[in-house]
Amino acid sequence: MIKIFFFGRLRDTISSDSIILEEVADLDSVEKIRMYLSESRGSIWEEALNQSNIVISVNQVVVSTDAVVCDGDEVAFFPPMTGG
Amino acid sequence: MTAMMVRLQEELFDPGSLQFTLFSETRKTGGIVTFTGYVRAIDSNGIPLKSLFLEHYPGMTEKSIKHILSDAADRWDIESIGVVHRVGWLPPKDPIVWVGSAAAHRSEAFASCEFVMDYLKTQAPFWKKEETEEGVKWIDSHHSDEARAARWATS
Repeated sequence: MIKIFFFGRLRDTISSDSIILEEVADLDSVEKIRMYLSESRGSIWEEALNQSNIVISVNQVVVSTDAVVCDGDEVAFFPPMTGG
Repeated sequence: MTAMMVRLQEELFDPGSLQFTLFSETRKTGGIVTFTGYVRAIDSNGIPLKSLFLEHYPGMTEKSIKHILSDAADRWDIESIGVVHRVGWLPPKDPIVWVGSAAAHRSEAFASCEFVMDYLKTQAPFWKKEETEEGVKWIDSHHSDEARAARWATS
């Protein structure tokens, strides 16, 4: 199981704040998860998740798209931060 | 050993009392630099702001801020450093964020406070959206913020 969170404008665009993927044997990298969601959830998700500035974290640490993901991990996709 | 304080809250805070508390727990501190960020009264087009929403990533946001403070403590000789950041809906003119850095000498206090703010803007998971009479819109990140943070990068 992999839990995936979405934040900010991205969450509003796809109308989802989190999903759980139960079958994760083939989803062992951030890029594979992004491709899987892009293909299975339609064009709005595809466009939103493939914006060049999207930030991705695994277990609450920002990673690059080739980062490894394991069963039980927490992944998040979000726009660049705008706090402070 | 640098004392560190991180607080995320919906409630209003008082910058003066935060500075008083920071200073009261120090012994070798000779100067404190603080920064307070506020909600503007208007948006970037001059339209009056009704409110500002601060979203965060519970857990990761706190961890990110602690990491930034640890980095600051590694770089500069500071006795105490703290961040208070608000989340949720805020009215215009309310304080959003407070950073305070206490050190024996001013150069460390100035530099570390600016470092923490620059990194908070670009590394801590917060997202702002503004509400005006025209509706609600998410704020885009600024390249200038990334450039400011990049100045602190070490080779």
